[in-house]
Amino acid sequence: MTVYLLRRLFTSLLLVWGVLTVTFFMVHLTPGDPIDLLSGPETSAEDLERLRAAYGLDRPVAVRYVDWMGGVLRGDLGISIVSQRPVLDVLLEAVPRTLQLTVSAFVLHFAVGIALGLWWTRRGARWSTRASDVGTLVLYSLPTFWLGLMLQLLLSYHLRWLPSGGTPSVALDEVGFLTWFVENVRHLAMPVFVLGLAGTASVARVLRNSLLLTLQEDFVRTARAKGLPPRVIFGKHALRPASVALVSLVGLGIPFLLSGAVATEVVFGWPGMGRVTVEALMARDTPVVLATTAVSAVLVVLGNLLADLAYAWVDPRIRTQT
Amino acid sequence: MNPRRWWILAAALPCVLVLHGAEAGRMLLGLEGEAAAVAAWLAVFWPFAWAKATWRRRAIEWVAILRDPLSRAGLFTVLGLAFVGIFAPLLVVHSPDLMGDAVIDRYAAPSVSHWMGTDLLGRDVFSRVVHGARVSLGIAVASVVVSVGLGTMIGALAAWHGRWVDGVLMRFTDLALAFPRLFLVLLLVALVEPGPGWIVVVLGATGWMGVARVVRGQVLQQREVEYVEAARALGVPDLEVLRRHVLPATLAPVLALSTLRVGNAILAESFLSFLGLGVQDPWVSWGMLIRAGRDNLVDAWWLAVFPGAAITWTVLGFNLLGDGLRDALDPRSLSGTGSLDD
Repeated sequence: MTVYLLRRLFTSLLLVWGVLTVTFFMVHLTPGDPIDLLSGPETSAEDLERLRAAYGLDRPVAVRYVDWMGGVLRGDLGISIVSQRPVLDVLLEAVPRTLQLTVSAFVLHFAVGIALGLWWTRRGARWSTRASDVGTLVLYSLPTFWLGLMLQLLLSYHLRWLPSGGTPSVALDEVGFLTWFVENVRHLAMPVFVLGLAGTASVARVLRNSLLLTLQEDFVRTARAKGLPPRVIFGKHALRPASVALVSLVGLGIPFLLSGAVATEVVFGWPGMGRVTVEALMARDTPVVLATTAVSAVLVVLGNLLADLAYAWVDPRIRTQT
Repeated sequence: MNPRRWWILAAALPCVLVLHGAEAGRMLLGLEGEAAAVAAWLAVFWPFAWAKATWRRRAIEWVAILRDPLSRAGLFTVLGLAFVGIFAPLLVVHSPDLMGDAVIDRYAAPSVSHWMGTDLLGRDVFSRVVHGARVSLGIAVASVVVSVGLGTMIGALAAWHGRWVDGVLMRFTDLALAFPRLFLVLLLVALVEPGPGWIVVVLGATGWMGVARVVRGQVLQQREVEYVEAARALGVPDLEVLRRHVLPATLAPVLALSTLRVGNAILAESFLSFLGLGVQDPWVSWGMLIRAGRDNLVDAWWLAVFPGAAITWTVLGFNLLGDGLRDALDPRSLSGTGSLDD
């Protein structure tokens, strides 16, 4: 297990390094740089040169790469060209916001998805299987950003139930905990719902399908023949092997949630990583773009690593392979 | 050429002449007017006219595979959309770019003359949505073609060669999978230049990994099959063996996968265009229309509602079809992860 763990850790680190390197060269070898956007038409050529030199953009790409990688290892991600703040500060503000959003959506969609999947399996009726299949496909097919807009139109504008976006403006020490909590829930409700919807459907669907397959296995028949009550067969014999499929969704779910978070954050004006990325891209704020890509790559690789470890935990056969 | 084929072409020609200004031809070949229409028509229907009888029979089998009514609904949705995309100019009363009266026609609610209302400039939203089908579908399908091509090449090469080539290519695939795709796509599109061609390239170049893995698995299996071994023993060149004996076996799963991927690509393109990083103004795509609708969501809801519904319906069509194909090919593969697998 330790060998397995170490090997997986090592490949994960390599992957993160690979992603960072590729991204770095992609950003730096494409034409155009942030200075073009910072300067006006009346900026003189000397000033442009001076600006480039100030940001170190006049050096060869290889030198910049080594410099940047060194910075990353030391935890120094450079300075945002647009806001003139350290990128690390920008990230430290944005990442918790994104985590707040994605973790809520993650927990919620697994909880609801598992409940739904179990319920569908227990129902077992043909029509409910079909209905749930179509239902999940519809949810996959909805564009996240559009769904967000529609909810804003309905729930914020017409019904006036929820704020249309932004973050809660109350501080915990000014109002009571309850008000603070309710405000947070009100602001998170729509984004989390939009973000978690497709995930909920896929969790429910995957769980149901793999439960149905597991229930056909011989050991389930044996358990049934022994006269075990259905709840024990279901909960003890079938659920554990069936949940292996679910575990892969944990790994897959993270890139999925991160992508979804970009759309959600843009639509709901949530100041997280997705919005920071999009704004930085528009402004060609290279250090910020690199940093957010790096963070999301780390999260994706981490998700895969966690999924692999969870696999090994759920399914002992994988552990012994190494 | 047998007489039957002549007949098909003869029937097609009058239709071709009616098709004025088919943008599909303009988009692909830079042609204008009738020439563009002819090119678009030929591009779509000549393969059918020329296809071997066996291929035609096989196509019919493919339809027959879809015994499930939902999958067939998906198939007909997709075929219907292809029809709408090709014949867009004939299906709408108003030109998508025709501006109305600045006062009277501005932000008109849906009515009999404008089924989906009008926008800020008095343009008919229905015609814009119909024309948007061309661009949105065109980009999505083209990008999936690119990624299927890339994925097939990489997967087949890895499996066929084995050894270190396999190792290198599969590590490369792992690396590509470790990229958060949306961030990569945003980065590439924002850094270079937004436009339909580049979006096709970017979406294609970031979506081949699933195909590569599927093709690799299939080719690994096929390599051990006896007739492949026999062909190799007879001295048939590797490429020929791959093309004639190995790759056809990968066709079915790749087709199912790529159908699902088209839906995914439509969603990706629409989000890019929604951000303003995708398709730009002379073109019309659904994501762009929603972007325009966002500015006046409350008073002119129809601007955002209809294009979004079009996206959902289209993607649903592709997902139903892809799901049906996958189930028909491999009934045991119940583990649908749908659009999650990128």
